Amino acid sequence: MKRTVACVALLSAFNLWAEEPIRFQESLDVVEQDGYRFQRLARLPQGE
Amino acid sequence: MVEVTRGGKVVHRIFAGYSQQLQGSGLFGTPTLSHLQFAFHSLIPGDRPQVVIRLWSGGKNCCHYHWVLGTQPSLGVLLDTKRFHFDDLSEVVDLDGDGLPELRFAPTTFDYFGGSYANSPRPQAWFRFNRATQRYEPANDLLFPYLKEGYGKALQALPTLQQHLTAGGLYEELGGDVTGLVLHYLYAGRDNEAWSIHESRYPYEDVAGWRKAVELRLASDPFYQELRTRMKRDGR
Repeated sequence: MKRTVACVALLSAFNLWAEEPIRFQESLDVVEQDGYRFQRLARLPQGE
Repeated sequence: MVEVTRGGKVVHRIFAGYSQQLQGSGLFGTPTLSHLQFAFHSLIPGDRPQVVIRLWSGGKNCCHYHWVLGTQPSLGVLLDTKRFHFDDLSEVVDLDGDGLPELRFAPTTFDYFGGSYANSPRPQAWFRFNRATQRYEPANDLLFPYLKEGYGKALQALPTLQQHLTAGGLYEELGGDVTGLVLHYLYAGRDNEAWSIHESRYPYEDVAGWRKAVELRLASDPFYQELRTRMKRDGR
């Protein structure tokens, strides 16, 4: 317990708060949020 | 490419091919959709998680593009690294303790510089979120107060060439470590300290020639150039 507190104090002193790593998902073709739809496309839409 | 739609209408497109400039370096393969990944990650406290997109360029020892997009109050591109030469995202950490994590990427500008890939100098590209512009912006110089202790410790730990060889190191290994440290200071706008370290710690004979080679390579690094332009423009 004391060791944990000391470790937290040390990290806090140096502002070294490592964030959660960004976890990428391999197999998604589409994600959606707030009404926005993000889709990976193989090529530019026809005519462009 | 990634197409962003809302209500069936296209509101934004991200082209995920590689640039002609990067293609010319010979290090890049062909990015395909199988190399494109999505993530949701909370970078801005109080906002909905951002959409993070990562694309591997393909090719040997190279490279990744990242985009960070916010969806509130409307769609916004917070970060686009496509014009830079970066390997993967190295670190997400709140260096300055303001609650907004900084992002560190690894520029590939000095890959194979003076030797093998393994011994390449590897500078750091730091981005800090600017609430005024709502974008992640190059900020090595602004973050230097939080980085200098680590850089100083790395400098103290640098062996001389003789110490390095006595410890079983290879002759060609040490130069990359020294130049990597020099680059940390150069990327933070600390030129005098950088070249002082180079003059005193570069382990081989071509001290002046190596400096010129470093300066020449820096001129081709879009991150370094943008950072220095911002520093000059903003008087920082």
